[in-house]
Amino acid sequence: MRRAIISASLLALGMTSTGIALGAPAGDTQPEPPQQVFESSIGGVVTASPLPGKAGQGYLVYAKWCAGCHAPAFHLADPAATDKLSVVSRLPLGTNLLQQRYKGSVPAALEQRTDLTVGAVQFYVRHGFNAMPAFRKTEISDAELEALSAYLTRNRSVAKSNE
Amino acid sequence: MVTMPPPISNSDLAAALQEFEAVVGKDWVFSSAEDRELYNDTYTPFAVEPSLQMVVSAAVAPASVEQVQQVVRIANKYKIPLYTFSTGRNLGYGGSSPTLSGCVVVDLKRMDSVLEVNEDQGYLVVEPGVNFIELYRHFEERGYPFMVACPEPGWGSPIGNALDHGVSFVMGDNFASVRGLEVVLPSGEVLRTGMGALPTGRLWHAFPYGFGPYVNGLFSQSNFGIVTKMSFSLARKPEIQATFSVSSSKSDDLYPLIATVQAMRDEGLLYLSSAASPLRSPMAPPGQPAPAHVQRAKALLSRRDGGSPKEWDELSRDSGVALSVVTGNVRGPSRIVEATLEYAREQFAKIAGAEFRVDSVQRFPLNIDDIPPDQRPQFGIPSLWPFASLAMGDTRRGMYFFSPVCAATAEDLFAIRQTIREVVLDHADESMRDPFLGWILANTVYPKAFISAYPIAISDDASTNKKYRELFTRLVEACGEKGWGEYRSHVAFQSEVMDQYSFNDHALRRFLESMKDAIDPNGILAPGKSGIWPKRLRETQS
Ligand SMILES: Cc1cc2nc3c(=O)[nH]c(=O)nc-3n(C[C@H](O)[C@H](O)[C@H](O)COP(=O)(O)OP(=O)(O)OC[C@H]3O[C@@H](n4cnc5c(N)ncnc54)[C@H](O)[C@@H]3O)c2cc1C
Repeated sequence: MRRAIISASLLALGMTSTGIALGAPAGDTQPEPPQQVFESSIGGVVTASPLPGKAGQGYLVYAKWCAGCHAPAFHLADPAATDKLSVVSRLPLGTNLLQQRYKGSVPAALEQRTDLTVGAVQFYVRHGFNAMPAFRKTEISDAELEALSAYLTRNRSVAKSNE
Repeated sequence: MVTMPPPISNSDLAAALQEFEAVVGKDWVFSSAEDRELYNDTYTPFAVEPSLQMVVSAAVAPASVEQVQQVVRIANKYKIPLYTFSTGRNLGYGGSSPTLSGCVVVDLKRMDSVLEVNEDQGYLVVEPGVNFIELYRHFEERGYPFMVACPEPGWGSPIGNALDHGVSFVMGDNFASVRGLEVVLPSGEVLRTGMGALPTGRLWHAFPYGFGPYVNGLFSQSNFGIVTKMSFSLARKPEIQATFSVSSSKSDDLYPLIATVQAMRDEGLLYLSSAASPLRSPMAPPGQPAPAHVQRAKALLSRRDGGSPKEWDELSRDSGVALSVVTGNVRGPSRIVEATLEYAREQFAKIAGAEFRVDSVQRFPLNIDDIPPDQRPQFGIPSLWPFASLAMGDTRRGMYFFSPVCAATAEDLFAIRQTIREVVLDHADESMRDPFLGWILANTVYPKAFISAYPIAISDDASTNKKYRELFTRLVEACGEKGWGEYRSHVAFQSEVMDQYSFNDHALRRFLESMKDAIDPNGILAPGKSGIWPKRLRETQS
C-alpha cells in the first residue's frame, strides 16, 4: 500500500457531476452460472485455453504466475479513456521494461513472442531477472514449467513451419 | 547486522536431510546449489556483496501438519535451525530468506488447502500455502460473496502476510482479522489457540480469545512456532465502494484535515484513510526536465527547516498543485455510502478553502474490465500488476523498506518528516536524499497510526548500497529515540530495529528471550527473527 489510494481516482463511475447521488444499480447484476475458472495474476480469473495438450496447460501456468507482469497493455473499452490511464495502469512491469529494452524489435508481451526458446523460459523462471524473482518448485513444478515452456514457444514452431 | 552460520556439522546436516526425505519424500527436500538459490532474497540489500548475503543450507517442503511436526522433531535431534515461510514472497522485508545464514527453510507452499469458507458466519480457514490469487479463484468459482484482503502483490498468502503484520486495502490491518491459530511448537507438539483449545473446538473461528492470556500475537513476527492453520474474518462484497479526497493549498490545513478524517474513522464510518502532500512529493516524469514548481519544491525540502508554511502556500497557489490532502474509503449499502459521503462533505466544508471530491464509486458486482489491473487489489482482487510502479525508478535489484510508525496526527507527521530530513541532510550524499525528503503517502491502515514505507532502491554499486544501509541504521536510531519504531523490517535489520524497543533495559526483548529459551531450548526455530535469539546464539550475536 505504498502508492496513494488516491491514485484510484480514475473511476468516477456512477457519479453525478455535482453531487453524491449514486443512482440505481446499472443493468444486469445476475451472477454468471458457475464454470471452471483458473487463477490470473492480472487480477480476476481465466477459463481454460482451447489449445490442446501441454500448451493448453502451460497457458494456465502463464495466466497464474506470469501474466501479471508480462501481459500485453491493458485497454478499457473506451479508447479515449484508455489514453488517460497512467503508464502503470496500462503496462505491467515486465512488458514495460522489455519494451524499453527491445524497442519494438520483438513484441514486449511474452505471449506474442515467436523467438522464445524452452531453455530461455526455464532459465528466467528458475533464476529470475532484475526485480523478477526466481520461482520455486513448490510454486511452479518442473512439469508445470515444461508446460509453460510449451505455451510460450508455441508460436516459434508455427513461425518456423511457415518459413 | 548480517549473521554467520552457526556451527552445524556437515554430517548432522546430511543425516537430518536424509530423515527429512523419509518424511516428505525425496522430491521435496532441496539441497543442490541450484535448488537452494531459489530461496535467496531477490531483493537483498547486499546485492553485490555475496559474502554478506544470507544463504540457506537446504529447504524442506512438508505437505501436512504431521510432516511439519516430524521435521521439527528431526531438527531438534540434530540442532538444525529452521526458518519457516508460508509463501515466501516477503519482498522488501527479506523475501524467503532466513534471519540466520545456514537455516533449513521450511517451505509451506504445498500446504495449500482452503479448509473452510463459512458463508453465514463470514470466516475463512486456510493452510499457509494458499496464496491470495488462489484464494480469489476459490471464491469466484464457488460464488462466495467475499473480498480477498490482499496487499499490493497477490502471490503472498493470508497467513504469511498477516504473521508479518501485513496490510491490505480491504481489511487494513490483516492480523486484526485473525481468529484462531493452529501452531506446531518447537517441541513438535500441536497447539490450538482461543476456543480451539476446547476439545470440540466448535467456536474456534467465532471468538478469538478463549480463556486466559491471548496468545495469537505471540506467533506473529516471532519464532515461537510454525503456524499450520489460521482463520480470518472476511469482508463481504459491499453494494458500493467509494473513495473521497479533500485537498487544500494551505500547509496548516493538514491539521484539521487529518483531525476530521480521523474523527470519521473513530465514528466507524471509514475503513481506511490516508494523508499526503502531492506538492511535497516532487516527481518529474522520467527523462524530462523538472517543471519549475518541482524544482522549487525540491529546494524547500532540501532546506533544513523544510520550508515555511507561508512559502509552501505560495508555491501551491502559484503551481495549482495541492499541498495538503486526505482521503477516506467507504463501503456498504448504497444508501449508507451516500449518506456517509454527504456527511463527509459537510464536515470538511468547515475547513475554508478545502476542496471535497468523490474520486471513485464502484458498484458491485464489479465489471472487472473497467478496473485497471494495478487498482484491482483495492477491490479485493489480487494481482501482480502493482509491480508496474517499479518501472518509475531504477529498481532492477528491487528495494527494501524503511517503515516507521507515527501517530495519525498532523503534528506527528510533520515531526517525523522533519527528523528524517535532518538525518538525511546530515548523513546522506546529495544523490541519495530525494526519496526521503519528499513526502510519501501516510496510510492509516491502523485507526490511530500512520505507517510510511520508504522504498530504498538497491543498486549494482556495493558502496552505494552500504551507504544506504548505514543511512537506514541512522534513521532507525534517530526515529527510535523519538518514539517512532518500525512496524516491520527486512530480516537483515531486525535485531537493530528491536534494539530500539529498549524500555527498562530491554525488558520486552528479555521477556521474549526467556520464552524462547523455555519453549525452544535447542533454539531451532527462526533464530534471530525480530531480534529474538536463542541462548546458544545470543553471545555470538551481541
Ligand atoms: C512492490 C511491493 C509492494 C508491497 N505491498 C505490500 C502491501 O500492500 N501490504 C503488505 O503488507 N506488504 C506489501 N509488500 C510486502 C510483501 O510483499 C507482502 O507483505 C507479502 O504478502 C509477504 O509475503 P508472504 O505473504 O509470502 O509471507 P511469507 O514470506 O510467507 O511470510 C512472512 C514472514 O512471516 C513468518 N511466517 C510466515 N509463515 C509462517 C508460518 N506458517 N509460521 C511461522 N512464521 C511464519 C516468517 O518470518 C516469514 O518470513 C510489498 C512488497 C513489494 C515489493
